[in-house]
Amino acid sequence: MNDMLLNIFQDGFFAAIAAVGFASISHPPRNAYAWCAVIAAVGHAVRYVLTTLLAVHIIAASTLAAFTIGLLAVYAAPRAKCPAETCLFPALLPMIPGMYAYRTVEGLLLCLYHSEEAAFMHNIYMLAYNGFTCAFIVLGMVLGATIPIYLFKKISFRATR
Amino acid sequence: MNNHSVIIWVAVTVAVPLFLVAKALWQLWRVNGFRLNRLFELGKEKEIFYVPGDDYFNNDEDEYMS
Amino acid sequence: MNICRDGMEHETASPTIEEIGKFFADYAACLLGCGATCIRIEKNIGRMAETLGVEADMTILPSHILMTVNSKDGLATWSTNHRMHHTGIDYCINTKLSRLSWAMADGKIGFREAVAEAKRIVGEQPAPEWVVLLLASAANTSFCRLFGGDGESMLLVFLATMVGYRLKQVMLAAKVDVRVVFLCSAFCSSVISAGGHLFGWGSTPEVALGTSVLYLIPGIVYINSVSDMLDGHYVCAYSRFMNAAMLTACLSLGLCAGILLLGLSL
Repeated sequence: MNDMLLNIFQDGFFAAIAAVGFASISHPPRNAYAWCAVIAAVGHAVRYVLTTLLAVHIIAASTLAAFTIGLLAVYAAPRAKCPAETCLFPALLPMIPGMYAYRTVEGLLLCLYHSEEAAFMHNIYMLAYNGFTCAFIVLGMVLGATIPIYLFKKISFRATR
Repeated sequence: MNNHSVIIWVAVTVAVPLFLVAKALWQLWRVNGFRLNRLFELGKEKEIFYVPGDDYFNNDEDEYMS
Repeated sequence: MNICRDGMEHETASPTIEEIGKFFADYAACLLGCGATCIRIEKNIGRMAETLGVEADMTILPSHILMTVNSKDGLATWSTNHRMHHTGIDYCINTKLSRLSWAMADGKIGFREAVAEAKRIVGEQPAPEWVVLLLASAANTSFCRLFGGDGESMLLVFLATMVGYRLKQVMLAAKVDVRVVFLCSAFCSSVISAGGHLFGWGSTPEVALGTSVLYLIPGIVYINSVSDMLDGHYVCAYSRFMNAAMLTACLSLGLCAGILLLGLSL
């Protein structure tokens, strides 16, 4: 139990550092950094719990975690006096599936490289599986994160007032 | 572990950081006597917003030329 | 505020329809350039148009804004086409410009102060480059940890990201094409982090190699693209997606070039 809690905490902690670092690339306002860190930590920890403890599929887990992030971002926006997407989009970045994207490109290149059928079919499978998974994870994440913004339109579009 | 792999690895790992450090030092040396904003590579010297009374059309000319 | 058809200044110095049109077009072009979603641009402009007593219609294209402003009585109109200002994704400018639109809507500032303030906002200096460099390197190192990398892999990724990101900053400042920049940065980062494979450093060299280029992935552009698609701006959504896909392809090419040149298997 303690090990699991430690793992969850570690996951959240490193996701927070990743979110702050990647957020800095897009120059958010200073007071948004702390919120980005907290929101990313919670979201990533939620996804970790869903995928490891509850064995939920990665796409559904990403969508639910992104929904949590969206709710927190709508809560944070009026307090940080910045638009909801300023806290939201950088917090989503640690969840973007880099490994699936690589394997997609790797599958594509190996498809072109190998000409015999067995190897080619295997690489087509890798390309398609990883490509679809990556695309649907990103789609699910953005859907999940944007729904709270539209649900709570009054809050998210008045945050900078 | 091939020899040529090690050579390429050493070449990239040494040459690229050396180039970056050398460029930073060279910029620091040049900044005296040059406009300070060169150091920060500000791309915002151009006036973007039309303020009534400003000579607005100069900026359009720059955009056409670039 | 009265909009004067003849543009003559009255006691209250009301802005002319031309001034309003140009300001709105500049404002929208700046917001588009700093990575705002289309719905935010529309809402901000709509809010300011309502305050100024005009109607503003715009078409948001991938690199241009077509803005038409009409007076409420329909007698005066101004139409303009503005190119997007490529300032790079900047949420600080996005936030401040949104705040500006609310300040105008709440009557806290007038039109001319808003124009001057917008000009000041866009001209502000961003954060120092070395701060962003350190934070991005720390972020990528955390990524390595999240994907299961060990200490040596994390150190390799930190160094690879530092060199690659600094190279990206230098090349972008030298106005090199952004696709070539991504290719070169990905190549450098992947070669440096492949040291784990070459020299047997750490127990997770494949994680180091895989995560060393993740800092280049244009995540925010993908997210903006889906956001625009949900709102019905399909042209912008597609263009943003293609932009992001092009950059992802370039960084993948750089990664593959690094791997192939070092003789590692994919």
